[in-house]
Amino acid sequence: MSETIVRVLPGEAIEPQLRAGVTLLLAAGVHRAPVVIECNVTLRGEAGAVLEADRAGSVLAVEADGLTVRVEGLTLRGGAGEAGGGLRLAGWSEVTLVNVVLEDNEATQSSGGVGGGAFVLRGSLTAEDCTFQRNRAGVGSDLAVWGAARASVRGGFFAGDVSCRDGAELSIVGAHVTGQLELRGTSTRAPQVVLKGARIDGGVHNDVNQPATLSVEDG
Amino acid sequence: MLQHAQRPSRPAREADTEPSQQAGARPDKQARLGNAAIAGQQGGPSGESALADNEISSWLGDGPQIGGPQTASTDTSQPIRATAVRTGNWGALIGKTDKAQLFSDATLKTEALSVADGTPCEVIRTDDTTKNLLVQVRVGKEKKQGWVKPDLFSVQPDLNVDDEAPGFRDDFIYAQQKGDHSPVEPKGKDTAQGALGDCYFIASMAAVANASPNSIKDAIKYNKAADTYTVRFFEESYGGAAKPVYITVDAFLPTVAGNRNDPAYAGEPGGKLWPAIMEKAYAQWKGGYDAIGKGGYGAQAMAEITGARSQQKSPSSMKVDEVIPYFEAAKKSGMAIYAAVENSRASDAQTPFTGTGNKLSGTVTHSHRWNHIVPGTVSITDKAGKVKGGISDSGREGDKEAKLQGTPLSAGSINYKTNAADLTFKDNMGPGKAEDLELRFKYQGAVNAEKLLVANHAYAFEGVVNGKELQFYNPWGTWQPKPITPQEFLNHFTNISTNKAPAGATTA
Repeated sequence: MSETIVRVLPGEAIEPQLRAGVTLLLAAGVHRAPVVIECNVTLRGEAGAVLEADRAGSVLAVEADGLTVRVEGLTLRGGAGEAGGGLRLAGWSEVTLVNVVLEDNEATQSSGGVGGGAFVLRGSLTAEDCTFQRNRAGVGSDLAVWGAARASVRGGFFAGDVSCRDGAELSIVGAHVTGQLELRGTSTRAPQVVLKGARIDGGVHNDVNQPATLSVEDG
Repeated sequence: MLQHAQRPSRPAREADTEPSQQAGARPDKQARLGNAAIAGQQGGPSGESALADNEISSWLGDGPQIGGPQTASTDTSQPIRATAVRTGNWGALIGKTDKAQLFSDATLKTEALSVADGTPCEVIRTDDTTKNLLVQVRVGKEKKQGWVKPDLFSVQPDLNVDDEAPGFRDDFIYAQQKGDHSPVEPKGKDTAQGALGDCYFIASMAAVANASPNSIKDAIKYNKAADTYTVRFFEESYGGAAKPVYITVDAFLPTVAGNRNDPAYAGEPGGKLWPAIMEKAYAQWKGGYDAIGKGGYGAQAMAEITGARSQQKSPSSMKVDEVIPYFEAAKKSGMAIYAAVENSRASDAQTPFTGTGNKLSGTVTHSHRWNHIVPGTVSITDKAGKVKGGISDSGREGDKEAKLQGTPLSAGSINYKTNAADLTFKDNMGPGKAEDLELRFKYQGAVNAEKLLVANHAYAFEGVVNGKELQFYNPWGTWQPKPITPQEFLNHFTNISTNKAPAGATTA
């Protein structure tokens, strides 16, 4: 079945173009966010394509269940909220980011906020060769994987911190994190974390009292 | 970082008057007296909130509870003791006198230090022979170590990292708040945030209490025999199934220096203490007060309280005439409603600079004394167009000052505390006159001082006023906002989370 591609120019609204199965090809330039995704869709950026939320909310939000969402070659910028300035995944859906830049996003609510670049509370996130930079949050400035969510990071660069808490699962393979990897379970469960060939400059802070189950290979 | 989510001070609970302190400064809760200064004070009965002995658990049963320390003392003046203590545990030294003795040796022969009963501590190591514990405590601006008997140690949630004293935990004392503090008729107004950045959790409790008081009543059970509380939360597993978890805590709460009846975090002397009990259980479950005090996600917190999944809505997707009907419908259907105010707001252009020649200086002004510049958001332009190239600040969150930089400058600086800005232009690259320079920035603080709305803060919805305005509750317990119009709501709020408790827990 052929792929249905719709090219979107800067200034054109994105949400009305979101239909199940469609691939939106975002032309170079700045496109307006926040965008709430409620169907299976692919967002593909041409070189220089930026989704800019201008602090009006998360750049991308997925709250619905059962979706498959793919984002390629885009820059997610300027998002703000209490969790997940660049991306907030709070539905039981699968989101894949490939060659995505998440920058200048913030989660600063409540003296901190969670996951400035991306926050994953439910569902599954796969991030391949993505760049997280200049994101801000109280916890997990670049990425926070909490609740019972799952995240798989393959390659890429994190200029800030990554957090994995509660009963979440996180795999980091071949990525470079310049900040800290913060791991903390609850008194009732522990996160499951696998590091393989990962470089964590800021060190791994695995809580002494409620630690994650951590497996390190080639790192 | 200025912690807006912490209350500035504690005047009368219902006061709408402006606190006298800058946001984030909590002199009544964060007085740095040091442990020595409060040693010897007695932990007397709270004298408030002695509620009826009811609400004994129906769901708790007699089986083992999940999570938390497993051993409860039957001595009701004593805290919960852990069955096993290990290096890295946080807790407090709680005995039967007003002071706790630390010794310089593992055999406890030489007294080294006396601290107030209830002093928080961290276990450094245990002695294999004596089973005694080497603990570290904070004494003013110092960390000191000493040996204690293990039965003096009570596992307690670790305190928040002290922003004003790097490397230290907050300087609070655990003290028992006697009586039964289980909720009888919980209301959102019972909540009062303390010196902890967990407005997301306090506002979540308030929102749930407003919409579904039985969810709160059902979640907190007083265990009279042990004088403890078992608090029920819910955790999801992958795919969405939520199951209850039960966390048992005692009523030894962190209290402010000088008043062992004044909870440092949630809670108010003379006020309802069920929010403090629930907050403590949440902290114990999640890994300590510090773990929950650096921000969180209100939608998650409400779901963890009720067991029902929260829904999100972005105000940016709403039209002004949709606001009142949305809130009326949500409230009518029994939704707990939580809303978050914008992180920062763009200033109007200011022309603060004076001077002649290449060196100019000026002071940024604010519309409210709480307000402050968000580092990294300053921009300076020349409205006359003579200065070529932009000027901006290099600051990052937490900085007190930063450079002002740009092609036309040879030097520049801005101080975020004094709001003073200085510019030195390269020859022939300055403005025609100083007042041509316009300075803009983003600020946090009172983003709407008239309506008492604070940036970067969470609120619980209370109701629609006169069919045309919205009333929110500030989880600080004070500085309550005035009713706001739908347009003001859209201007300032960036997130709405709603949560409908399961049937059976929606009415008081």
